[in-house]
Amino acid sequence: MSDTLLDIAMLHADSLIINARAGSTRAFSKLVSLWYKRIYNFGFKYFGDHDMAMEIAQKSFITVHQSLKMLKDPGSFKPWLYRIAINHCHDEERKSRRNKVFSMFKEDGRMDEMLETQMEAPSNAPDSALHKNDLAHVVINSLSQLSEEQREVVIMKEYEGLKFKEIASILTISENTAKSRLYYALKTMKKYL
Amino acid sequence: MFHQNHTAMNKRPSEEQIIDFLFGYLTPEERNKFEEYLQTDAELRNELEQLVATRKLMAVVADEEVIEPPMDQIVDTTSNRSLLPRSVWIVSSIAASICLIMLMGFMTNMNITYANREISLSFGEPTEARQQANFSSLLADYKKTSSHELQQATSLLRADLTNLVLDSQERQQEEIKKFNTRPRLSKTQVDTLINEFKQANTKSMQEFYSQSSEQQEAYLKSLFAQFYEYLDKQREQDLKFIQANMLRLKNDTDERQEQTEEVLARIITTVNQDNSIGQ
Repeated sequence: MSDTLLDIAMLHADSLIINARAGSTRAFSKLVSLWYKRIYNFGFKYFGDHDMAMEIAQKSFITVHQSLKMLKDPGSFKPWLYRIAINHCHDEERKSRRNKVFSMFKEDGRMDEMLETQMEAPSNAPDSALHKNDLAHVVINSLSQLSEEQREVVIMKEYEGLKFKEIASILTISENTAKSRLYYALKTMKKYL
Repeated sequence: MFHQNHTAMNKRPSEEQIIDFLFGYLTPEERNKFEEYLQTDAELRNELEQLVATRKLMAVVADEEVIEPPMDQIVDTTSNRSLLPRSVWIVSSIAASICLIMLMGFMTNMNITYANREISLSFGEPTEARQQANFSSLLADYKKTSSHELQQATSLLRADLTNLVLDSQERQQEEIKKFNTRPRLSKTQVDTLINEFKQANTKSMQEFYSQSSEQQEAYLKSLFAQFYEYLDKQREQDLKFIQANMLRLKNDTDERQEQTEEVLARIITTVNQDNSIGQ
């Protein structure tokens, strides 16, 4: 994957991080500009929902602003930021699961049926007939069928372009575990695509 | 990476090896061995094809464009956030409520009694019989005094009303008498009065116009003076704003240049390192 100027700037933003850590609002603002889109997209693929993605991005940068002083090595900003985002994703997932338990008493499961129909549709229809947006929607839905552990690895590797070493460090697992999770995630997704 | 480095693979590669192959992380030697094995395992070939297809489909999902919220929103949320954990707030508010209830109980002489499997709350003197007796005597007193007071008030009201009617009748008769005894004016006197009134009216109107035009002139002068003052201030502010922007632009340019130099230095260092490793 060829790096764009933005990617290079993101990788070499040490001085920005140091200034932001020292309390410069402008430096922090630039950091947010550099990374907001990445964290939003991470959240969007994790939940498949714009509002949730905005929530994750906003909460992540609030945490960054509160805890940046604790980050000793500016070089480890990237894994640190993704770890914060993942923790917020887990929190939101837990909250929505709790809400789902409550709503189970109210709803009659029509949403689940609808989702299942949506997931089954592509296998019946020819690929050429699917619009690109519809296809993207199906992919996002198939991501939501994965377990938390598999989903986060897939997004970090396939969409965020992180190295297995970085993923392992963020999730505090071994590289082989990360690879194994990705393998099973891809196999699961194949069933829905 | 592989279990047997020097010979061809004779068993199915692990999931990690398959992923390494998919992402091109195998060394050329490992890749050759993997591909040799693939020739012998149709099932794995099929699986790999499906995995590649899945990844291709996944690539359809592009990044969503998003505009970051204003910086103030993040900073304000951070600064407004309480340093105390939520649980501490909950415990403190419960404790404060209990204290408040106790204080109110003390001030209102609240009694809590338990008898015959019933908890009862009461305020003030707790004796029920005394309260009943007090209530009866109070009711009797109230009835007695209220009927007496009502009679007195009614008689006073009647007397007042009679006086009022008599007064108004007297005043009415006096007004009628005054009207009848008033001297009558002749036609010429009425005309003279009207003329005088017209002249006085014209004079006062002229005075009013002259005064109002003077006032308007003074008002316009002060208005223009204020407007010039406002323009001066506005121009001063604009100049300050432009100066501040110029300064910020300069700072931005300096900082960007610094960052660019940093990035370039790193690129040059990386390229130099790569070259030295290659040599």
